[in-house]
Amino acid sequence: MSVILSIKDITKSFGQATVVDRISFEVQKGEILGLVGPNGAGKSTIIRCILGIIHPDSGTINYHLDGTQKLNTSKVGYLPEERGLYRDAKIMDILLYIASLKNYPLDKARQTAMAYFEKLDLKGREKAKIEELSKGMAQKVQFIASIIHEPQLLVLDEPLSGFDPVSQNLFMEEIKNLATKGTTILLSSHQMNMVESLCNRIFMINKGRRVLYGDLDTIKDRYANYRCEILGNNDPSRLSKLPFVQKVEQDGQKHIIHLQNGISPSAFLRELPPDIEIKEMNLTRISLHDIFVKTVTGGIEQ
Amino acid sequence: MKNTLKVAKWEIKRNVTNKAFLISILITPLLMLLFGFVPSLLAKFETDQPFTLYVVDKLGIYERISQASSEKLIITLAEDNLQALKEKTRGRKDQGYVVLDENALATGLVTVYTDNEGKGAIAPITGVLQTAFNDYKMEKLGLSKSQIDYLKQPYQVNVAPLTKKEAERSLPQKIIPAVFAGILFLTVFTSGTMTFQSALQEKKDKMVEIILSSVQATDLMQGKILGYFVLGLIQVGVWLLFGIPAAQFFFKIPILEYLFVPELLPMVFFALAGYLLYSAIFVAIGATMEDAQSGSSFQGMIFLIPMLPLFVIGPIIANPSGVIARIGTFFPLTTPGVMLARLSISTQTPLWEILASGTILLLTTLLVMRLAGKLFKTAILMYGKNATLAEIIKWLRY
Repeated sequence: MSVILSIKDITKSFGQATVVDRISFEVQKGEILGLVGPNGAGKSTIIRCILGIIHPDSGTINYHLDGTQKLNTSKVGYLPEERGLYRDAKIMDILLYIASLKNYPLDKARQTAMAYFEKLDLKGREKAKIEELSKGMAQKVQFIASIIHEPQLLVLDEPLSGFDPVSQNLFMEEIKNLATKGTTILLSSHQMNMVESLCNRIFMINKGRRVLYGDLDTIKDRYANYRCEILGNNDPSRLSKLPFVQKVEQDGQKHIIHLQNGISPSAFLRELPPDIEIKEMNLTRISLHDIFVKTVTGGIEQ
Repeated sequence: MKNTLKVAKWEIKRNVTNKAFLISILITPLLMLLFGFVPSLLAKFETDQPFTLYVVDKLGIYERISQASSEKLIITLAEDNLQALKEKTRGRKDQGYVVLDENALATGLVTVYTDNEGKGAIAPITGVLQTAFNDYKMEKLGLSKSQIDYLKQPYQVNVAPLTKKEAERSLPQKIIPAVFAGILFLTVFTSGTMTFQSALQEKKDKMVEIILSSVQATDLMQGKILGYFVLGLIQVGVWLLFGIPAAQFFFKIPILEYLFVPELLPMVFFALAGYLLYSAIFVAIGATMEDAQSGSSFQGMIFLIPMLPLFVIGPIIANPSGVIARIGTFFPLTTPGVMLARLSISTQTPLWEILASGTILLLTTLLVMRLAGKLFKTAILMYGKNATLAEIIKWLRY
């Protein structure tokens, strides 16, 4: 796979605070890379650097969009976290304005817009003003605005925030669709379930520094331990003395047993005493969500 | 540059198709007419009722006073006695009486008795009384008619230039360039404030990031400045398009002839440079603010900058080449307004002053646009609060 964006050692400070500290990663053509991290981790600053809105103090960003190493804004789409559009302007006018800023042919943009209006339940509203639309509808228009010019690289910052569950599913499908058609997507989000189901690879950042980077499965293999939930009347101190157990949390009648690193579930099950009461049992690998929480609370350092 | 034009085009299209803009183009001249005419119209209406003034003449000067009699002020010789007059005019707003006797002459105080509260109706009589009293006194001193006329000959002070001889300009010749200068300045100011609004709106609508991921911040800023410049031109264009034929029709003044004087060229230059200067300041200040209501006093003060010439307009009219006018000319923030005023008042503004102040203004404008670009770039991305003066100074140093 070819690299479409490569970031090397970028650092950005605002006054005394170093917001992004020697960050490097690559985005490959056609993949969905998840950029994850808590609030204030530096995600938005990285995105703004990539989009050329601000410039890093040091380090380089190379693009492979049009044969040069430079940023070609016409080939990049962006859905910012701060949602908004000119309130007093008509939907179609805004979309065409953005297409013109991206040097995209207007008649083609109009066709693309109409196709999306149809798909996203906005048909017949193209002359409506943004202020006349519901919040959800306005967000749909903004999504269309980010892809109206068929970008090669699409940067989505919290793309699903503010959508109802039905629309969330619709847009998850649409994002997958775009990736299959060859659009490279950099997706920044807190919603780990979405990142897990959409992204091939993730880059996790905390306090401006890289925490995790790589293939999602590999990361899970490396960092994700297993956890076993058991519903039943058991003594937690006894459970915690079982072999391979790292710690036990209690949640009512339910005990959550965290296994030690590198222990396979079958090894743990073999050692389970027969007199333990099991009404329900759930054995899973811990999710990206758990990894995220551990990271932020200082569980994982790299 | 291409992107600047795109942004400008968008701003123009957005406003031209906006009802509020169209209405403001039409409403502004109407409002100006309204404020110009309504007060005098109302005053006229107020004094329209004729006022009858009975004169008790003990000096024998009624003849002279009765000249001041008009439709609105009827002066008649009183036939009743004082008591009857009092009764007759009591409670009347349209009647009154005055006693002219030696006492009035000696004290210099003439009292009109009436229940009318205003002085408007009897105002015309003051001058007439003055003349009548003077004539009466002089006649009493035994002066002849010709001697009196000799004494009464009025004097006028005239100013004639020594160095340059030129034809005296008529009133419309003086007023039309001044009115035009005023319109230009008003447009400079309103268009300038519109760039401020526009930068603010960009932030409010949260479009900044989308736009800046496509164009440079300087393109966005220049596009706005250019866009509102064209909108200003459209505004002036529409006003002149309707105003010139209207003025020609109603006042029978050949406006164009008076407008295309040599001073027009520097006037337009100062207006344009002024617009660039003020709009650059405004657009950058707009970018530092979160919303118009919560601007700090510092940001509010910025708005007074184009208004500065108004403070010195009095001295400039009194003496277009005086010290104050000169200071205003060479201080770049007041140059546009002061020069517009000077050029429209006097035809004798020295060429070197026009050139020197123009150069200073141009250099300042270029510098300010550079600084404004820096400020705009940083400030436009800040959300959630108004920038403080300290922050603004810090950003200017980046």
